[in-house]
Amino acid sequence: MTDEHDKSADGGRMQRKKETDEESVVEEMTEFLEGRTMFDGPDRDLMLDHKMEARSNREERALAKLEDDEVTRMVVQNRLQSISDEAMEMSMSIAASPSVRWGDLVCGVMTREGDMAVASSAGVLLFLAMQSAPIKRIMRKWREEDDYEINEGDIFHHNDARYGQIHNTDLSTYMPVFDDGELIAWVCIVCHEGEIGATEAAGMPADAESPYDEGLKIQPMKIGTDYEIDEELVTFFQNSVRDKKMMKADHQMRLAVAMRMLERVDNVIEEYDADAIVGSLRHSLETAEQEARSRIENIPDGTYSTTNFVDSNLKDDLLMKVPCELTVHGDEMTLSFEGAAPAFADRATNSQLASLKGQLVQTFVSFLWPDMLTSQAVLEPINFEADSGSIVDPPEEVPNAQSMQTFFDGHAIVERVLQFSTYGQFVEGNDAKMTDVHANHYTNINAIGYGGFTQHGDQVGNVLTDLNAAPGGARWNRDGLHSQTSPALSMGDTGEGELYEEEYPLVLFSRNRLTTDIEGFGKYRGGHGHHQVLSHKDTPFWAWQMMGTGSRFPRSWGLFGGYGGPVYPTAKIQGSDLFKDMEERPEDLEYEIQGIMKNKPFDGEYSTWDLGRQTDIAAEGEIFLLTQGAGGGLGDPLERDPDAVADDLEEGLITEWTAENIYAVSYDEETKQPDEAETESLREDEKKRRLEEGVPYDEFIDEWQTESPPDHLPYFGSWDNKSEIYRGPNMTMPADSIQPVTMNVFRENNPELFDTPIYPPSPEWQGDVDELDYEDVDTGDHRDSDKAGSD
Amino acid sequence: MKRISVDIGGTFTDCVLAWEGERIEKKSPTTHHDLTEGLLKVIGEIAAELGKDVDTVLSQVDSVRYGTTLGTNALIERSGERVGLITTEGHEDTVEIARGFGYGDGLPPVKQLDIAGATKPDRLVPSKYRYPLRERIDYNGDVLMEPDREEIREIANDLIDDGVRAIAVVLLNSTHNPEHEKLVRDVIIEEYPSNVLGSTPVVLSHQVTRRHGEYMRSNATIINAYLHRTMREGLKNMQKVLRERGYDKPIQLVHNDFGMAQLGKTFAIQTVDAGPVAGLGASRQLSQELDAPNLITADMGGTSFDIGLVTDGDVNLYEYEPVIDRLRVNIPMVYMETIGAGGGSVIQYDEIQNSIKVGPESMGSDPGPACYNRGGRHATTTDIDAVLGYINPDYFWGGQLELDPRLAKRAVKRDIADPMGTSIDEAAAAGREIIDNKMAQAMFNEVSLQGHDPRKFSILAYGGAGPTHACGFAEELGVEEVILPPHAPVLSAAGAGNLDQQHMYEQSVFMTLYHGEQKTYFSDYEEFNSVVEELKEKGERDLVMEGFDPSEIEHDIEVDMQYGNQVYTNTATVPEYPLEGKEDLLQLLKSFRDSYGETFGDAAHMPELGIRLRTIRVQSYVDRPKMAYTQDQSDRAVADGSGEMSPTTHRQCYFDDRFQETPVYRADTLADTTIDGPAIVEYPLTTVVVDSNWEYSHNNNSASYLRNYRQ
Repeated sequence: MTDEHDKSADGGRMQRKKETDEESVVEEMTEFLEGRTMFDGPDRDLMLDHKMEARSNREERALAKLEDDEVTRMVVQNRLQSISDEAMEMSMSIAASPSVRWGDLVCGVMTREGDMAVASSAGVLLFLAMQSAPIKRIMRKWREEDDYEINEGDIFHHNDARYGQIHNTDLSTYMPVFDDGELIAWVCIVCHEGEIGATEAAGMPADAESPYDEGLKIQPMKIGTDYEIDEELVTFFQNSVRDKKMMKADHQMRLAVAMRMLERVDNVIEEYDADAIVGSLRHSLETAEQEARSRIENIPDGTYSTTNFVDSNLKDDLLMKVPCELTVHGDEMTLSFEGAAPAFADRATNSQLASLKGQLVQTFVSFLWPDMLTSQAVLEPINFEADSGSIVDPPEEVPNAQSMQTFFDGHAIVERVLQFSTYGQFVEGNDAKMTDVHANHYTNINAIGYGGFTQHGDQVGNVLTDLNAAPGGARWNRDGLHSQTSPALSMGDTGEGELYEEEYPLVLFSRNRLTTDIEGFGKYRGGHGHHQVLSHKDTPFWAWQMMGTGSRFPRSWGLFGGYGGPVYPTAKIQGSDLFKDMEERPEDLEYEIQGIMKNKPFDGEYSTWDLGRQTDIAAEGEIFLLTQGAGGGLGDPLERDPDAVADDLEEGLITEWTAENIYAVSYDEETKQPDEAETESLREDEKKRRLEEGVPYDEFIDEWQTESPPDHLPYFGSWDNKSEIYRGPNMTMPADSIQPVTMNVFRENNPELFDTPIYPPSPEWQGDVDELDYEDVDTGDHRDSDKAGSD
Repeated sequence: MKRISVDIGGTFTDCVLAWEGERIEKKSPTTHHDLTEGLLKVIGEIAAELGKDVDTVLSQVDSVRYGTTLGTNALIERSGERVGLITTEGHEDTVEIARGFGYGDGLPPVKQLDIAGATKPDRLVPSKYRYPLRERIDYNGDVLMEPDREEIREIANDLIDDGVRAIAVVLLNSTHNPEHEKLVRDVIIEEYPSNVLGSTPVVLSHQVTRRHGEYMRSNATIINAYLHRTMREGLKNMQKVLRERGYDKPIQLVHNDFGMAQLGKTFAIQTVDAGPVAGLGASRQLSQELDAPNLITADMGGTSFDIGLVTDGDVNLYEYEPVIDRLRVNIPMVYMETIGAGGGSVIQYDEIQNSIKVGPESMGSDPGPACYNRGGRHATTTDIDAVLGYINPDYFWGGQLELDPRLAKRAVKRDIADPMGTSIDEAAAAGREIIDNKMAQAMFNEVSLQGHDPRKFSILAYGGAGPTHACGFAEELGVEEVILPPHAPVLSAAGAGNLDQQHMYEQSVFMTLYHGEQKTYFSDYEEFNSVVEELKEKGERDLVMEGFDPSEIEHDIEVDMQYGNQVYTNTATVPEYPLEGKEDLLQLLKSFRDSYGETFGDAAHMPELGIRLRTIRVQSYVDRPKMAYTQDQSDRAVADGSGEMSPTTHRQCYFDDRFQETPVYRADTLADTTIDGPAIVEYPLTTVVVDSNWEYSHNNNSASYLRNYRQ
């Protein structure tokens, strides 16, 4: 038995040894072969998940402890808010980036698992909403990888948009909060920096044709320990960019700010305890969610839909559809962007769905519920739907430096559809607690980028912060505000022109001036934007870049009969010498864009361009022109108070033509005071004319509806069927297998669809305004109508 | 020394008389229809206490120092003059665009977040009164385009035709080259000599401030033009009335930069919010008299809670870009943080935040808190204090205003208790805790932002409601000692009595003191010194014109510096002047480094980016004789002469989560003594609440102290 057993045992041992050997080989070889990852790339699941983590046992205990101590909870919550606000103020004080100095950043405190619980009151909320994914990624690695450590004093950083930013020029620093060895939270600062080593110096390259044109790409990683950044890494980052000073300075700035936040949070822990932090953060999230749910519940159930278009990807004039269908059911909301245009493989306007969601945190807070807690949980009751591969949910290997051109469109349609869905509630007691019903804020950042050397010898690249003063839409009871703030942030700051001129080689010839007639007309008009007519001097090298859309399709819509903001181009006067003309014939100069383009007071070649314009090396004295759009109007312009029209006329906001032809106001030529009787008569005539020209709805539909996009239109997105996505007027692909469109190839195959230049622009593409008839008022694009293919 | 100092606030006119060794303080309701009426009333009460008539007092005082709200009120009410703005063409909408953020500047965060519901402040200069001028100067001060005299003349004619009563001139980069602004003024005066133009002022921006920033400089210049006539006429009237009653010297106006000057040397904007700043000035002196070098000042009045800092016995915290009535300016003011938490602040339950909310709305003094029984319906801080038994309804404001605690309870029930679903007492107790928390938090932020640990400070609590809440916010803040200074209820007026004659001048510059890449140092010391000399000359000229001997004049020199191209700057003192060598320069760089590190932490240093100097500032002043706030009271006896401290009475007050019988003392019966909390000490113009674990002591130097003996 024994022998047998032994034998058997021997045999068994051998068998087991063999098995063990095989197992160890399997284990060994599996580990050998699969234990390494070729590329630890972005995690799509993490990026798509905007929901907060479930309440943990730790949070449960902390909340229970705070339940009977409401005062402590309130005090700590307010303290965390103050910490975030102080951090923001400190960042603006010591940052090198002009964008940060003037408000393009946010600071906040996040839960241990990475949910954005408390954000600074001002700033770009969407930035912080984007930080969940990178922190969750770090936490996952920490859990899954034995040798991955998170220690007190560690400094983490990232900028690659595909891991959680809207574009690579936004840089984050986050640090873990420890209490007695336990990781309990994170502090975070995210800043729009500017120059990032991209193919264009301003940091948001419209010219990018792949992610590899977009500059430095850092995944969420540890860049320092024990409160010190690894200098070797900073040198590497500096080596990858042009503006080395800013890269160095702002890494230091973000670290100092994060450390200040840590110090403050430590004080709170010392004064109360870690539970107070953990519980307050969780309470913030859950309160925001509950409040959002209760407000949604007050919106009538139903589906509301609208459609918007982006008219350019900054290199090609085209129409990209961004539809939105909003469904309210009980205390939940679904926002569907299905049917949107396909992603572009070689254009930078693709937007991560996470970026769009991030912007919508700002949308819901600043354009709907401003008294809400500033936390990502505002989106908790909201579900999102989008076609994978579309421009709002693109694959990883496409550029996205200009993602805001698309996700601002998403903001605009959500802002708009929310007005429809909540208006009834607003006028009947406003149980949904929303701010004023309003037409669209001007929904874009019309930016002038720059790159070159300053008069002080520094190499720089960034955008002028005029984009921080987009005008507001008309409200239900009053006009919109002129030059207010970017839709992406509250309290955006354009900065002081004199400081700009002192630091950069700019001459802001005409900057702080509202643009005449660029207005969303209505009973209540939208706000006006300001324009920029500028040049440069005292530099060996300088280049400009324009970024924006809305030269053909408006970026703000009217509401309830109000007009949307008009469309318009950017312009350039090639070969001009502003300084010579200022010196020699000042009496001939013009300051208003319309007047400049009409009367040509400067010597040079006048041309108009789409708002998307790649880097253009400029000579000293050459003049570039841009305007900052208009907010949408609300209500029928024929109902506008004639005295208000007269006031606008007197203030130069509108021309006489607009007063007469849009608002149908008759006024005394000398006093400009309205003639009530004559105005009434004009308005009655206009109403009659409308009735005469109007057609029944069905008739209108019959005349205008087509089965497919017009053949001449570079159209992208669904037409009347969400499951079929057009790539150009004649080709479709199923919505469930969208492939990115390679525009360079598409253009080659469809040259007849395009009339815009590809960089570098060749002279034949430049419109000549000489041929325009400015006697006809035209709020559209002023491109030369004789050019083939122009609209 | 015989001196009257006055602070006319939104609720009360406070007045302090220094008459040789005697100090008399009084409060009287502000008479908004004619401020002089309230002023004479309070002076009359003081004179009566002194045993003299008003004329005798006014004819014998050496100065009347006045913290005026004329400008502040005219600005709030938008009742100033029609201003015409002449500005560089292409930039005429600068004040309208307001850098974008103008819609929310100076408002609480929830308003700033409300982009769609925002409203911009009412304009001081509507578009039709902005007149573009074709001219241009660059950042270096070089002329790019000369102005045309004929165009200026046409603008001048338009201004007069349009009925403009004050002219503001703001031309781009005039801080580096003011010639075009001066030309505008000359041509206007040439066209309309002063006898035709009357009192229409022409205010040039470079004379208001030499600091860059056209938006902020425009606001500052416009505000000065806007308030010019109101200030001038209001003060002329006051001067006339005072002269008729015997005061024949110029009124000295208190400035918000700790200075003081005659009307002719005062820009109207310098008087805005000057009252609280004078209180901070008094705090600075008290810190020396009481040997308390580090103070957080807490001025809790009727509508606001003003916080300031005294560190190492001094106040060196100027705000260089303050917001005045929602308009940002680049005129230095002493920095004080103000939150809406005063005795009249409305307290309500906020269902959205699930929390009790304090202010910023205030019921003021009319109708005032509910317990005033003047028609006020909302629960306020004072109502909460009345419900909790802290305030004696029969001795409020020295017994001159009888309170009705029933109305206080009714308001607390409706506004807080019912929405919270709790009792009136618990609601009031929770409300008090939140009020104290809010103030403590505001103080914490202010102190900690400057890099200080609040626990190393004492709190100087003053204003009518300050001593009532001092234990609460001090405990929350971890501060162990609260000082209740002499003149606590009228300290701002008392502070006005001790300000120096002072003028401050600044100049924007661009000097690279250290080049981070090249590791080279600034060496054109003469460039730096000449700017300082120019600023010193200006200040000295002003003071000489005010009648001071040059030998009395002193100067303090400060600079604003930055690492690299940071836009904001850190202020540092100049340790060695004149700059004569590298060692002096290194001392200056060290001064900046230390100041910067104290503010932002050592992790924020970035010398490798270089260090630039952006503003030079000189304060020129004459050190005036000061009256001491503290007085030796060692001869003061306890009222009953026994040496034992006996409470005047007892009443039910809320301490330690319940109402309990609490001893109440009258301050005028106390000498050098200590009282353990819980207790109440009543002064004519304020009430001190002594919490459990705190002790109240009144020292012979006329200050009182609250000390936490648990910590």
